Amino acid sequence: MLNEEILKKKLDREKEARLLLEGEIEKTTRELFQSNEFLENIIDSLQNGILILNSNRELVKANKTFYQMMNIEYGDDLPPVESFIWEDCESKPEHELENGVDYELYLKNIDGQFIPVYLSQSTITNNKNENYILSFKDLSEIKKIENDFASFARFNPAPILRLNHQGKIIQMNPSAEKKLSESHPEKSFLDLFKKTDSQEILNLSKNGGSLSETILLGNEYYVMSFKGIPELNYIHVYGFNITQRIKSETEKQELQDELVKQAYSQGVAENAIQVLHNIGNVLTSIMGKITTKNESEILNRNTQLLSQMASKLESPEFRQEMDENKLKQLGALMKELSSYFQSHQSIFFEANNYIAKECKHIGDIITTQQQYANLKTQIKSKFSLEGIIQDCVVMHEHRIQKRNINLIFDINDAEVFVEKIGLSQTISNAIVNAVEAMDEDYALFQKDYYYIVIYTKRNEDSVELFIEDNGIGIEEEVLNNLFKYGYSTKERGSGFGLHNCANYMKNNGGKIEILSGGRGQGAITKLTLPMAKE
Amino acid sequence: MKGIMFNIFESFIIKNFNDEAWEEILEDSCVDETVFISPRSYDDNIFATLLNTALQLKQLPIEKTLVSFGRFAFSKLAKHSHHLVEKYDNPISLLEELDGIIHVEVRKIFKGAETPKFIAKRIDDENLELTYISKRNLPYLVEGLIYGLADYFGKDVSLKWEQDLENYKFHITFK
Repeated sequence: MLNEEILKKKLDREKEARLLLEGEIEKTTRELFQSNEFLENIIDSLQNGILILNSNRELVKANKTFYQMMNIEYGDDLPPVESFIWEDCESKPEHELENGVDYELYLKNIDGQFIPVYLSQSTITNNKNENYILSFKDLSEIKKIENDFASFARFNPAPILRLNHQGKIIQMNPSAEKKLSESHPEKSFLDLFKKTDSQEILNLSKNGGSLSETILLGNEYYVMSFKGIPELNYIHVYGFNITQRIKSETEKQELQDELVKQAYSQGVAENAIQVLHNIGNVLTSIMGKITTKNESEILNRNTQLLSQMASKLESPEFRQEMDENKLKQLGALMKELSSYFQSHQSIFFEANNYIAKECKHIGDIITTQQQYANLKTQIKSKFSLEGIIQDCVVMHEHRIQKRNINLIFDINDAEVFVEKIGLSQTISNAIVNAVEAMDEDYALFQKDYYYIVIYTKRNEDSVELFIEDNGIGIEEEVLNNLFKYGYSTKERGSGFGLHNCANYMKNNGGKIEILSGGRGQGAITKLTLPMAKE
Repeated sequence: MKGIMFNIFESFIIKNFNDEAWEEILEDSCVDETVFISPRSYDDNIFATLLNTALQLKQLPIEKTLVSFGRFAFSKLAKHSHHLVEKYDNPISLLEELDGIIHVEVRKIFKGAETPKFIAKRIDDENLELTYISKRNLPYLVEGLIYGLADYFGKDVSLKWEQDLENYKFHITFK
C-alpha cells in the first residue's frame, strides 16, 4: 500500500473514532445523570436538608443533612412527614406552601430543639405524578449572628447596619434607623454613597474585604465602614461619627489661615518699614549735603553786603569821597566776594548732583517696592533667583554701605517656582537680620571686617540659597525657637517675621533653616527653593 | 474485550512493525469493526482474529508474542490509569489488591468490562502465588503483564506457571 493511502485510512479511522468517542461520552453522561445512585449522592452532599415527597406527600427520601438537623441516625426511620414538618414547626404557614417562596420557620428535632430554617418547596412531575422537594436551610448560624448583632448594636449610638448581597438592609440599629429616616428617608442606602461604586460594595459580600466613605447624615459627618462577610453573604456597616474631628480640623485650618494672614500682613508692614527706613537713610545723607544754617547766614550776610555796596557805589557822596585807598579796599572786598561765591558755587553744584543721584536711588527703591506691591495675589511664578536677590540688595544697600559691610556674591543663577513677594520678604528678612547681627557684634567686639556672603548651590530639583554673615551669631537655645510664632530676640521684634518666612517656605514647597555655631560665630540663613521645571 | 486493549494492540504492532502492517492485519482479518474506542466493549473474537492474522502475516510464535504484548500493554495501562497504580510502592501489594480494588475501579472506568479473576497469596516479601481464572485463557498475556509490572517498579522477576484444570497458578518472585 502506498504511504498516502495508509495515512488516509488512518485519518479516516481516527475521525470515526473521535465521533464514536463523543457519542460514548454523551451516552455515559446521560446514564450517569439518570442513575439514582448519582442523584442520591448529589442530594446527600447538599448543605440544605432535603425531603422528597410523593404525590400523597409521603416521604420518599431524606438526605443526610436533614437527618443531621433532626439528630436522627442516617437511614433510621423518620417520624411521619406531616408530624415533623407541620406539627413540630413553631409557626407553620396558614396556607399551603407555594413553590419558590421562602418560609421562615422553626423545625423541632427529636431532642426538642428548635432549629430556625428557611423552608422552600418545589414540585417536579414524573410520569404525571407530582413529587415535592422540600428544602430546609439551617439559619442557626445566621440567627446567632443576628442576635449577636442586635445585642451589640441595640444601644450603640453609632449607626450600624447589616446588608444582604443585594445591598438591601436586613438589620439596623435604632441609631441607624433614626439617622436614615431623618436625613434621607426617600433614598436607598447605597445611593447615599457617591464616591464608591455600589457594585464594589456588593462584591464585598462575595469576596470579603472592606471599604469606607464619608457621608453627611443630617448635620453630622460619618465614615461608613463596609465589611464583607462572604461566609454568610452579608455586609456589615458601621458608622464612625467624625463631625467633631472635622469641626476641629476646620477650626484649626481657619486659625492657621488667620495666623498666616496676620504673619503675612506683619511681614508686609515690616518690609514697608524697612523701605521707609532706607529712604530715610538716603534723605538723611541728602540733608547732610545741604548747606548748613551757618553757611546760609554767611551767604545771606554777604549778599546783603554786596547789595549795600552796590547802593553806596551808586550814591554821589560815596563817589566824592572815593580815593585810591578806598578803591583798593573795594577791589579786595570784591575779590573776596567773588572767591566766596566761586567756592560755594562748586559746593552747591556738588550738592545738587548728589541730591539728584540720591533722589534716583529713592526712586529705585520705590520702584522695586512697587513691583512687589503690585503683585496682589500669592500666585507662584517662574523667575530668576539672582534677579530677586539683586532687587533685595538694592532695597538694603544703604544699610550695608553705611556699615562698610562687604557684600560678596557667588551665585549660580537658577529659575525658581515660588510666590515672589514672599521670597522677597524672606530674603530681605535674612539680609536685615544679618546686618543687625553685625551691629550687635560691633557693639561688643568691633571687628575690623564684616561681610555678608550670598551664594547658591544647585541640586537636581532644588536650589539652596545661603546668606552668611560674621555677626553676633545665635545660641543653640535661641535657634530651636526661632521659627515659633511670636518668638523674637529683638527689643522691638514681633515674632512674626521668621514665623511668616517659615510658613511661606513651607507653603511654597521649600524650607528655611538658620545655622550658627553659637554666640560670636556668625550665622547662615539657608533657603531651599523648588526649581522651576523646564 | 474493552477497546483500550485493541488500541494498545494497534500501538504494539505499529511500534514493532509499521502503520502498513496494521492496515494489512485489519484488511486480511476481514473483521467488521476496524475503529476501536477505549470505553466501548468489542467481541473477544475480533481480538482473537486480529491476533491470529498478525501471527500468520508476520510469522510470529504465539506464546512469545503474547508475553511481549502483555509486557507492552502493562506500561500503557499503567500510564492510562496511573491513579490506580501510583499509590503502590511494590508489585506484590498491587497484585494482592488487583481483584478487590483495582479491577473494581477498572470496571467503574470501563463499564461492562469483564476483568479476569486473580487470587493472590503472599508467601513472603518477595514471593507470591497468583491464581488466574479467566474464560479467555491467556496465561502468556498474564505472564507478559507481570513482566511489565516488574519493569514499572524497577524489579527483577522470575516466574513459572502451571495449569490446574481451568485455572493457571503463577509462582512469582520479585527481587
